[in-house]
Amino acid sequence: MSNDINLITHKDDQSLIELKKLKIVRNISFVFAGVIVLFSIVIFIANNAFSTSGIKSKEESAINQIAMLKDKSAKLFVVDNRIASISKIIKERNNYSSISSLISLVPSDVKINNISFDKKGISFNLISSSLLPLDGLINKFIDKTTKKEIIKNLTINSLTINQKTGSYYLSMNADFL
Amino acid sequence: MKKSFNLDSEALKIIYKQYKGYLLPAGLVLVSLLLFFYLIIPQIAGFTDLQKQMEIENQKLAAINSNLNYLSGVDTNSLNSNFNTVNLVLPKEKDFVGIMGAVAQAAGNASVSLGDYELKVGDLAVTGTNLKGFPYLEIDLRITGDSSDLIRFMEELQKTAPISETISGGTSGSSSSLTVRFYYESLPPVSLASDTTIKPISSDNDSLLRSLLSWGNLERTVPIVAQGTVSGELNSSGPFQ
Repeated sequence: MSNDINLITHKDDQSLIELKKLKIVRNISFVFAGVIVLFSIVIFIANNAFSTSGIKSKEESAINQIAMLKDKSAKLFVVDNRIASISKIIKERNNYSSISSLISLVPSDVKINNISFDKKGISFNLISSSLLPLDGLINKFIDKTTKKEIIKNLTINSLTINQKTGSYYLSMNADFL
Repeated sequence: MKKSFNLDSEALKIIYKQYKGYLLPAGLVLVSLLLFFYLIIPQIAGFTDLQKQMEIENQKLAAINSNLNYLSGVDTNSLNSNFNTVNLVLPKEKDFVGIMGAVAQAAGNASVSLGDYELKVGDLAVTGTNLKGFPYLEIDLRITGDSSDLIRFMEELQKTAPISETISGGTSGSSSSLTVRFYYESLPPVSLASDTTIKPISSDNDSLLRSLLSWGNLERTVPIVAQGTVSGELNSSGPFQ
């Protein structure tokens, strides 16, 4: 049995292990630092590549150019707005073209004494020397009412005769559809 | 049984000597971790926001460029003509001269003689509005002519500037009368965001605009000086200013 103990060799082993550990820890720390540096570079490049400052400067330049055309843009805006308003008025305003088509139904041997109209309806006072054309006219108006064209009803207010002149006076009114 | 440690300066020195080689790597790892959690991760998280912002800015830029191209391509003469036309058809205020001109021109075109007329101006401070929401000036007119003359006059008036609407009318013998409303509308405040795409005039509105060019009483010029700004108001002076 040997009583000698080689303390020096044991000490070297310990320090070698320590050195190995230290080296591993150092390597790990360098890897950590390297990863962080790598990430930082990637983020820096990405931020530069996706930066909005470039777009914003282009926007500024285009806005400045548009500002020089402000009269045009203002006029376009007004024209567009005005057209919309005019279109609305034209669509909604009373269209009395129907009146002329009703008047055209009056035969030549019937004289229109007076007419009055508003957006609700129209009233006629007619004079004729014969009942026949008046009858024909009433029938045409009734036909319009039946077919729901222009007018929705017809009211005959009076039919009178002037014995002296021999003229027939017809008063009637109709409501527009 | 409790063990007590006495960390005096000697002990600390020994520990320091034993582990001083690890201090730098440990510090480096700590700093790296701190940088990772407090700098890198927030940057990565903010990257998606940046992409969204980029998308928004790109859309804005596209709209601005589109507006710029459109505005550059608009013919100035045509625009001025359209601007003049629409402002004569729908004036920004009570256009007395325009109304008188319209009545006279419609009468001339319909070959009828004008009789008396009465303008119902009313309270100048309070504008009358109808169901359409537009202020108007009402006028009672008398013309010499029968029902066919009246109809002809009305048809002419319907296509004469300023825009009007016949409210009622009547014929008695060879004299006719009618009540007409002439509409007007104040100019809207011009507020155009440069990144809002300017839409070209729609085909319906374009055809309406072209039909307006055939209206009567458009020979006048509107004394409106457009000093519009992209985000400002149109300064204009009316026919009586």
